[in-house]
Amino acid sequence: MSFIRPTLLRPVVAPRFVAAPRTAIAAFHATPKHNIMPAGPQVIDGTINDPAPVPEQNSKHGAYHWSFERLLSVGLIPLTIAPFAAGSVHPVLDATLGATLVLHSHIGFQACIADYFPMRNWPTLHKGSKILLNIGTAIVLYGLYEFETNDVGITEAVKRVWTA
Amino acid sequence: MFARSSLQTLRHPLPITPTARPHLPSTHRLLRFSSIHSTKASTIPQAESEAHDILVQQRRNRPIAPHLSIYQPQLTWYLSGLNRLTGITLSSLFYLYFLSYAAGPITGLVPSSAAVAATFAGMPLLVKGVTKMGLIFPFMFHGFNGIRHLVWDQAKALDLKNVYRTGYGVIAMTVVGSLYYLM
Repeated sequence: MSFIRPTLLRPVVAPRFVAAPRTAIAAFHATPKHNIMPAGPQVIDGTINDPAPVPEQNSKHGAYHWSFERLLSVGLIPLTIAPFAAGSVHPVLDATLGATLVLHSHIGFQACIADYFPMRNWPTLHKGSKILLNIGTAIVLYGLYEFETNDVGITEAVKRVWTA
Repeated sequence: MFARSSLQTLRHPLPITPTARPHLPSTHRLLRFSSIHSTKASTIPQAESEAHDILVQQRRNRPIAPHLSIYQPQLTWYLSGLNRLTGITLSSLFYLYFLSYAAGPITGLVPSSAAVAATFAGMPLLVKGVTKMGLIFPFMFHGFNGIRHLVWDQAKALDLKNVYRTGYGVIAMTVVGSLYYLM
């Protein structure tokens, strides 16, 4: 029977590639198309034959940045537990907690900017948001200094609000 | 010759070369597309840069594969996302408070701790409870998950079983710690 099979196969294969109407294709999808977080602007630099760019090596932004981030996180553990354990803390310790929290938040925000506004897709937005973050952190540090000087301190303020 | 599918007609604004065509030099663009009859297709000469621009334009029109909508919910990436979300929430509140405190002399509204405490005291009980929950749960979770991250940074507990164990441990400690300070 194999000698008739090739002729029988052809009419079976060919109709698959006939243009199907639009509704027939849409009916095959069981779930709607969710365009969650669509891709950003597509950037094409050069051709496929160009070598991939090697990022500049800077230990300040690389290994030391990572280590400093972990140092702050480790330091935050006793600094955060102390107010809960002791009830009230020395103003200098309170200010250290505040400053460490600000720096920890700054590094966290830097990671978010790098992830959500990549330099390759949005160079201006990336650089602009980093500048804004730097300005914001500077003002927050000043505000923290004023708060610690003129007001009661973070530990006491949280306690007052919590027991209000 | 096979006709192109209708789905392709909807997606690509420019005519696409069918598969069984002779290879054209990259500087020539196919002008007229014929489906079943093999007539001679005319081409127009085009500069390399223009062809590249068309490629870039077409790439912008192409869809991307689904990711968040199809990825199976798992403790791993749920907790990771929650860690970032809680971090952003707490840091934003922190920054906003101290920015407004620093801008106090300019705006005339200084949110001193006494003023904030007094305003909070005047709120209805439900608002107070919800605000406290909304502050303590993210704080506790981010703190305990942060310790989990520091454990990972020492190359410990990185296998799947321990990731899940520590993950459930963090959730348990968050609930216990938050309830302790809410009561």
